Amino acid sequence: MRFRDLRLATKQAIAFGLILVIMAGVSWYATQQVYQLRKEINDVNNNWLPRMISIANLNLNASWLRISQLQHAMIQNPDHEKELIEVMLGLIDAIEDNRDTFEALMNDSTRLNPYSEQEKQLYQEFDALWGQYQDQFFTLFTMYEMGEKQEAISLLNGASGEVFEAFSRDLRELVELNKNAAADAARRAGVTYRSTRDITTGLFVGTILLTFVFAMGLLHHVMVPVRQLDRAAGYVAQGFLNVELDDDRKDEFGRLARSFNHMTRALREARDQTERQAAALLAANSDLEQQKAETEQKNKALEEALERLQYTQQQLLVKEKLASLGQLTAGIAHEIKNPLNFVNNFALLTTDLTEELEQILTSQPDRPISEVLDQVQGILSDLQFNAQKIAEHGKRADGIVKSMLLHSRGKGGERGLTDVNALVDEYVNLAYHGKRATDPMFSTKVERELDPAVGQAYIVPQDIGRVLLNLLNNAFYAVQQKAPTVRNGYEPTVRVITKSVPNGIEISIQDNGCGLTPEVRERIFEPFFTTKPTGSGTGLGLSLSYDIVVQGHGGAINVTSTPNEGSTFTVTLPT
Amino acid sequence: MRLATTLFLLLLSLPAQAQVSVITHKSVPVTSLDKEDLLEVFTGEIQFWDNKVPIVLVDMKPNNETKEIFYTFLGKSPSRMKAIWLKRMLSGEGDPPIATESEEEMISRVSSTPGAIGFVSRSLVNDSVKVVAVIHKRTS
Repeated sequence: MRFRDLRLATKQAIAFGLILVIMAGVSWYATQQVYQLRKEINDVNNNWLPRMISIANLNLNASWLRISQLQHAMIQNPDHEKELIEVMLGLIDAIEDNRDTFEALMNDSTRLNPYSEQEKQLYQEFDALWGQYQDQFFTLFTMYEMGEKQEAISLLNGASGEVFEAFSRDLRELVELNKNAAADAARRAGVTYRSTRDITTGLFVGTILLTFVFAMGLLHHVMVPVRQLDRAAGYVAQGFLNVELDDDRKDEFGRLARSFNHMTRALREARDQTERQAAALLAANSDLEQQKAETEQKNKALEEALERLQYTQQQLLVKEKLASLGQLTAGIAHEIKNPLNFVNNFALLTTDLTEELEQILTSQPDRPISEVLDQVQGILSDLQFNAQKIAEHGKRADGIVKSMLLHSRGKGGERGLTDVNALVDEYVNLAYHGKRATDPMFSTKVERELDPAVGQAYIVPQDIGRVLLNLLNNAFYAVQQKAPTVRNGYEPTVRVITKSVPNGIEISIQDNGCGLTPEVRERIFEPFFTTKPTGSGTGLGLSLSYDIVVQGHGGAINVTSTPNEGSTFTVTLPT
Repeated sequence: MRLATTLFLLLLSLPAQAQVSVITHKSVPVTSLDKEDLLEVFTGEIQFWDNKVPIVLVDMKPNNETKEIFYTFLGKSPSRMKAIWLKRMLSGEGDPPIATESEEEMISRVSSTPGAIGFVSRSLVNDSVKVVAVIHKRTS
């Protein structure tokens, strides 16, 4: 793994860890050196100096003792003597103290710089000589006490003096040795101090420089990718999405670079996609424009077609109405024909009778009056009868015309309470006679089952009448269709049934005709759907009937049928 | 010398298994002495025995093992002892110890000098002298 690829924190940790380690090392070194220095100074202080001091003092005190001894030998004054003895007492103690110090130092094996063999030997020599000197001292004073002053003095100057010279020499050498050694130690301490100072300073400066270098290095290490990123981001912000950063590093900057590249790639793709979508939208838009134009055209065409269809529909409706009206008219005409026949016949009879009357009155004048009167009375009563009949049938015809007028008003009919049974009856007649008028071969049995419980309904009678007509005509057509296909014994029958049901009135028209297949039955109420051959009928009858019943009156119209056996249409009207 | 000192330090229980015995003239009314007592005696702080007889110190001149052991026990160097005696002498407080030339002379001197006290290697002790037991601290 290259250094570059480590995490940033790791790099920092390494760099500054290194610095810390170095500083720790420098500190440790400095501390060690300081210890060393302290040891050396201590050495000088605790070792050399005491040694030097003790030996120097020893030398001094010993010399002083000697001088005192010599002085003592020469004085006469007892006060002086006393003084000197005091001095000597002090010196003796002092000398022993110096010796103790020096020997303690010598025997302390824990100290640095043990005494050299030379020193030990010198001291041993001194030690032995000093013992002698002390013994001589004893002898001297014994001599003084015994009054042998001359002998004492000669000992003092002679043997004692020699001993003194000898140990003094040793002492001086010791002093010199110690002095040199102490000086050396001090010098060494000084050297240690200076070298430590220099090295530590150098290391410290070096560490600072190193820290600086590392910091700069890290900064650079960080700033280079940061600047790159900054530049790249700038480009991206301006819209240049093709920038790519080097992403082969495995540290945070590598990750950052990769993320950045992902981002720009995603941006590029998004932009491309957006452009594509925009292009697609434009294309779709122009397509739509085209389609719109086409649609508008089609719409226009459709509108025109619709207009035409509506016109046609209107025409068909009119035709249907006219057809039904025609039927009605035919029916009504036929109805009128009947009474008019009566009127004509009776009128003819009346004419004949009046001629007969005239003949009676004018012929045979000599006939007895009673005979004539009888004949006249007979004719008069016949005439009366005929007049009655003419009036009766004339009234009938009038009624029929009135109803015809009602029907010809078309859809503008008024809603009102209407006796349903009466309406049904009327229109059954109309339908029947109308059919007979158009088709002389027509002979269908028509049965009525009108429930007396059926009362009135709030309806537009002309409309419901048209519905009934339509259904009846369909029934007649159905039985007519069946008749040729069946052997003897077929009695075409149409039954009209009214029934009172909860909240409504049911009018059923049942025929035993050809029936409807399920497929036909499903479509039977569709406008323009017809089973009749082209040219006969508009196919609107049942659809119109459906509209009238369901939309016009809030009722229902249903059909049940069995092919080859018959159909039943049921109209339910609410009350 | 150092070796001897070390050796002595190793068996520094002079009381228990001493190679050196403290001897006195038969007339000295003392059976045991501890270190303090010995020091007082040998430094001249005490000058008379209980029976008013003056204490006579006997020292050995040659620096043999016996002397070293004894002095080390006392805790004073020969030179220091000499200095003490010198001071006493200069101040007129007393005489320096008698210095014998050998251990045999030590015995003969001690046995023949009333109030004398000295030291000698145990092996040389005979019944012409009294042996004083050297004990650890006196519990008085």
